[in-house]
Amino acid sequence: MSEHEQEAELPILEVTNLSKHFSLGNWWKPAIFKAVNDVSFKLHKGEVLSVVGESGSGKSTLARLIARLSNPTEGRILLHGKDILAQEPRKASLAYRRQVQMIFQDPFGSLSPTHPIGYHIERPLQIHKLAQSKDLEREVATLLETVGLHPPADVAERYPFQMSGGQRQRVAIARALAVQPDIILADEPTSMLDVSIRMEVLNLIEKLKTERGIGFLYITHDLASARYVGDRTMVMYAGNVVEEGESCALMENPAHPYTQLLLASVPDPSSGLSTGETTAKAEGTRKPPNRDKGCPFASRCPMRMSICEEKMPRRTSLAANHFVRCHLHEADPPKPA
Amino acid sequence: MTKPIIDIRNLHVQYLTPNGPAEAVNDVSFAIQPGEVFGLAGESGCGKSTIAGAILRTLRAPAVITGGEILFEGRDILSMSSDQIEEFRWKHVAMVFQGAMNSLNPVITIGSQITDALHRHTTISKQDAWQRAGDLLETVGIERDRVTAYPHELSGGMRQRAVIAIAIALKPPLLIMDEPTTALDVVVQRDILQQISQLKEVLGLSILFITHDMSLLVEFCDRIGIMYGGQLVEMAPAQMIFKTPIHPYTQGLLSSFAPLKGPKVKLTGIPGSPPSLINAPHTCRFEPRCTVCNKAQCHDKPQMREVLPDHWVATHGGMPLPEGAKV
Repeated sequence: MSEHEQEAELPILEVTNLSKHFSLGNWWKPAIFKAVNDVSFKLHKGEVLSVVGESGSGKSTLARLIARLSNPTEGRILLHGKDILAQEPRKASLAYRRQVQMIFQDPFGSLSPTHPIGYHIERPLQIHKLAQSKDLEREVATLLETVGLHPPADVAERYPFQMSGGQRQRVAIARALAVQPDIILADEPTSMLDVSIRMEVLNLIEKLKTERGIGFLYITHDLASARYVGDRTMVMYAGNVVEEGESCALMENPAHPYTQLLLASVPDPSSGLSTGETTAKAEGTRKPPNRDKGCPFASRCPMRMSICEEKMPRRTSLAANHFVRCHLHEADPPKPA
Repeated sequence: MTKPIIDIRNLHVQYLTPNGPAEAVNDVSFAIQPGEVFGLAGESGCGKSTIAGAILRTLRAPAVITGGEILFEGRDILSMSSDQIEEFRWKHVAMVFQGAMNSLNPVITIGSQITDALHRHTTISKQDAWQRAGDLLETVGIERDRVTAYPHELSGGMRQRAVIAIAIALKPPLLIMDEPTTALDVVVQRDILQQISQLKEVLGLSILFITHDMSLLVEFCDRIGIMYGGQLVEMAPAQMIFKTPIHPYTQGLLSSFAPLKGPKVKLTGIPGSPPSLINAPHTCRFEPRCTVCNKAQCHDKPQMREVLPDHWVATHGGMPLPEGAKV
């Protein structure tokens, strides 16, 4: 495979073999839950990487690891080429937190009800010493303008309860923008919003990406919006990245059986319900598959082969920037059993 | 035309608030035919769930039904006595609630929650009731021996199925489903919807399906009604709404969903936020967010009219209509 043009440029964020394992069970019956397992990806300037997967697939844990809200079990996080975990093993530095910001799912819970909107945006500016106190008001107004909240002077004095969900989510975005981050981790920013308002938030992400060159990690379970805003899409299943590629190409030609299942399940108004016959089991096991060996999707996979139970598939490259982890696509495919 | 299973005529529901009454449902009329799946769509606070509550008469103060009638097979639900309504619920109309997975009692087994409903409404022996509970679980695709399971032992999708099993326990002809799959994954959602449509065929159910997910509605329903600010603004067969939406709000709602195929196009959604229902105007409630209609003529009270065969829209003079529409 030829090196893609973008590969030459240093990515803002590079994650290699990142894992987060939680210990379960007790002293005599120890068990490990692999919430995130061996995840690697790169995020470039001005790029949106969508992360999709069902609930419990480790999407949010991944964002929390990158935001350094919890420490990974193993793996490396490189920000502008610097190994962050080696330099700041215990706690993220102020500089790191300035560069990596996060937007949470619930705009009703992420703003303090006792402070006006202006306060929420002033605080990061003060903490990171990015504005002098005489400039604060002006900075806040500019930020509120950027996210489309008018008139800024009036909005800054309002309290969160006086605003709708969409407006609050935009305040959360303005707060993240205040410190001029390089990366914003958006954890399902639209799932709590009304359908008619979701598009505004997605278009704002698009605008910030092009105008400011911010890299976004957009976490969602909605494939259509992942395709709409994401340049690339990464599909996660049970903590593992099973497929990654350019959003449009990936959804056009999904290679992994799980991606195929997800895509077949999305309601499609142009066809009836009957056409979407799914081959894989919707719910294979009650517990998330978390075995030491083999492919995590094996128990639900319609194309299961004997090797799937034995060995975790490698990352196989299908085309430029399109990877899949499935034995079906490995160079020397074993015959179905 | 056959006799509709449920016929809602000029329904008005108000929530009495300290700031004045909020008209959650304002002059809504529609009918559901036997065996039909009717979808109600709209954003939060548009009155979809209030209509469901009115049909089952489960609305409590400060909600008040201030006008209209709801005819179920010709009988007016709103004039029934409390004994009659008790007998009517579940046997004739059952409901699957929003977030239904959490509506099961956590300390009682699934089986006894099903038999509970059977004993309450029928004179069935204990043994038969448990037998029937097992049958019902099998109908919704859960193994029979799970009757002894507690809700926490089942996954979200299975709990949702169990709730559907309870709802169809007395074979009601009409099932109301209020956002039944919103909290579920797409894969599980598809599975459950396929199950529901099978059940519909087998039991001959009519379904009132309430959700805000337009793509899901268009795929699953026969006919769709779109609500905005407590009013029904458009009503037509599903494919017709999808292909030729007429009301500007419906157009906006449909353009709020990104497609999965084809080239990437810029979508706008609907700028602005939903209206307050307190002292809402009697003119078009969508007017402040509307970018389509002729503003000069927006102040007439919109009238529900059949502009194309079977395609009803609340129109006023300033609204552009497609070619061939009756003016």
